[in-house]
Amino acid sequence: MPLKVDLRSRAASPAVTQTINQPFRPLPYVLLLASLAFIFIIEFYPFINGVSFSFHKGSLLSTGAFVGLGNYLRLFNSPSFYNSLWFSFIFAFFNVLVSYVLGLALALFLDPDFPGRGFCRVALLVPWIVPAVVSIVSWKWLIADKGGLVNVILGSFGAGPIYFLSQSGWAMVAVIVIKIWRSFPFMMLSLLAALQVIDKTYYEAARIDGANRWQMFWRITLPHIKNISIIQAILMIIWSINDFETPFLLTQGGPSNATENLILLSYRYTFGRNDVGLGSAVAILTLILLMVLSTIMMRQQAKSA
Amino acid sequence: MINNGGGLFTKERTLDLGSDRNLEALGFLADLVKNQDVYPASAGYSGEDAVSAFSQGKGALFLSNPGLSNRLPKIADKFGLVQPLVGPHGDKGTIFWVNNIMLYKQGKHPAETKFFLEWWSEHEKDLWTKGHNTQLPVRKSFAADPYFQGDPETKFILDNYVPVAKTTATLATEIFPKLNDVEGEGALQSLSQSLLQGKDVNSSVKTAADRLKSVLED
Amino acid sequence: MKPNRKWLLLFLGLVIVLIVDFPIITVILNSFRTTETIVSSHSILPTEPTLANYLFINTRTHFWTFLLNSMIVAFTSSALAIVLAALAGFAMSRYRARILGGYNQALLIVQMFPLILAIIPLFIFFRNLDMVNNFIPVIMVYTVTQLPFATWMLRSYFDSIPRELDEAATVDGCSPLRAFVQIILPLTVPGLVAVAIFSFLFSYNEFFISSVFLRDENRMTMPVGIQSFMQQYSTDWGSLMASATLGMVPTLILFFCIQKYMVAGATAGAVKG
Repeated sequence: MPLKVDLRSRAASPAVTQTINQPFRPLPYVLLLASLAFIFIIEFYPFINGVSFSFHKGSLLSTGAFVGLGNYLRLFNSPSFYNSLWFSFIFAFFNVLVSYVLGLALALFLDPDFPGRGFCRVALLVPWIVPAVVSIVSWKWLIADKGGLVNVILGSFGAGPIYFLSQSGWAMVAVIVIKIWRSFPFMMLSLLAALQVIDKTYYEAARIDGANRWQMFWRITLPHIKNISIIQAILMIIWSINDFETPFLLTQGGPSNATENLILLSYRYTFGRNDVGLGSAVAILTLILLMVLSTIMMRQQAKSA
Repeated sequence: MINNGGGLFTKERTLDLGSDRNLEALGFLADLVKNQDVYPASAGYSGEDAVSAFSQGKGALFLSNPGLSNRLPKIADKFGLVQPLVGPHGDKGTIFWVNNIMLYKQGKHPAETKFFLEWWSEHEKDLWTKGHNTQLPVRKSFAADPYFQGDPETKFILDNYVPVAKTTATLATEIFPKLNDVEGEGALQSLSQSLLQGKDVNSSVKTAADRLKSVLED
Repeated sequence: MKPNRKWLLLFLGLVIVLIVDFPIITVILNSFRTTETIVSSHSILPTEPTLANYLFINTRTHFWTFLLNSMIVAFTSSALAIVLAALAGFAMSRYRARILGGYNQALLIVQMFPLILAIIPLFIFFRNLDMVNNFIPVIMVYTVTQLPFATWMLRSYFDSIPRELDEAATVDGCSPLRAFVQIILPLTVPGLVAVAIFSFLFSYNEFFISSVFLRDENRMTMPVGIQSFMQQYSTDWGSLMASATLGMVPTLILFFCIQKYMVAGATAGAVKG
């Protein structure tokens, strides 16, 4: 029996049908007031502003002239935009895919009880909870230059040193691998929680019926974690596309803009080129992209729930 | 590019990244890379990495701002300045930036601000003589001061490099506001990273030129 | 399970932990080495451990300022977030009103909002108020970014408290708000603390917003400070490693305090959705 999980309306309390005909109660509105005010100031007002900026040719000092869709047209004609779109896509794709698989594998590993499991579970969350900058410092030491540990190990196998941060292709690999390393604990934690909630009697019954491990995994485990998996995947896609820190701290978007995702592009246009209109346009497009992606995935999830 | 008599712009301030002199200079760099005379990791290097490599004796020539002996006191006696390099066509050149003092249009007291600016520019020598700023003064009258003439390194730079130094606006003679965006956009940095990775000169230059054109169109 | 198998799993687990946490372990180990040894040594364990790096960052850098700034910002924003999230979570748990569904949608959008889009207008806005290098914009942004997660988590906790308790209280003449504060909240204190610490963690770790608004050296937060070391001292690995180690200590400590709640919370999330 699949667990019902729906991001859109988390109605988990017992049904309270008697509230439907109640008189207007101001309390819920009041409770939300402060939160709404904050959200308005910090997100809604900038959003409107941002949309407006994207239709102008302004700088950080002045608003500039109205250009209608000019900025968007320039983006659609700009190789930098497609480059960052492409990198954002592969960054998110590989991150979600590999961190999910890794997270699932480790969750399955940590599901059965064994001594020291609690310790392992916590220790494996470290990549996620440590500040991004610390992660980058550590990885940088491992992969920078030919003295880095990774190259030393490669050298002992006779392979040449790889200058990860100095070659476009390898820099992309490095950024993605580090992101996966930082992301998988989150997947692992949620999947582990979902695994532990599955009723063990299902497995008992299956074993009695002669099912093997693989069949049990496929027919019992997977359907039970399907919903949480989709939710985590959505969240992880959003976080991946919005990730500024990982590429910025490691490569500043280089070399030659190879690791520049949409957020870094927006940053460069705004602060490097002093073109607030272009920077805002990129950000708006990113938001639209995320909304489309989330809607598609949530529909998928609602269908299967 | 500047050393070879080229520059980003023509005299009329039109973008001219693909000029003959520029391509010659960039081609020279690309050939060094092809010849494996360039350290493979340099595409990922920052300025700090370059200083560090030089100070560890891993680099032979280093292009730096004035004051390098102050930054690397321990090895200051091990390096010195060379004469400005002469390009294949006999050109000398190096790059410099001017630190401008800016007055804002929105200011409320334009006349007073301008008056102060004039006074300040005539009296700011203390920034160096007392404040020990490592940049160079613009005024020749300042530069004649023993504070500068007495330091061999600074005197050498003033005598040999400043006369041939040019801004990023070259071949145009005056700097203009858009230069800020041009430099901040990072196109040249990406260009050098591409060349240091051994990518094709012409396509890298074209990419950079397109980006710069886009910045200038704003 | 056969006892041998259990120990095998433990062994495997420890190996995996070692591999996964290896980068972090190297940071800690390297912090006890001088820069020269870090760059040249090929062994993993420091052969001549030294505290030189720690002394250096203590005396010659603004490290403790960074730490203090991070603490101030993270504490204030997570306190605010908890209060707001508790109120909103309570509303979502106990009431049905259309605005609550809309609010849930709003929280979703906040979750996916690319912060760079907000940063540009906010930067200009606060700069016109002369509030760049001020903690307030940063605190406000952190509070809002924590709201979705905190609200959802707290709502989950409140859902697990039976409504009979509220109802009993209101029958006794208590207003719903009082019932909330005096009866429900005390029962969910562990959950509240866990979510608060979780918010604190994310605010503390945050880099982007801080780096845009807090640029002065005496206002920078920890992650931005460490990053500035990366630029200034990219060759000074020793200082970098020491500051990174110290910088993550609060994170690790706090996390270990709340980790069982995170797991419980994740479980609750999985069940209730």
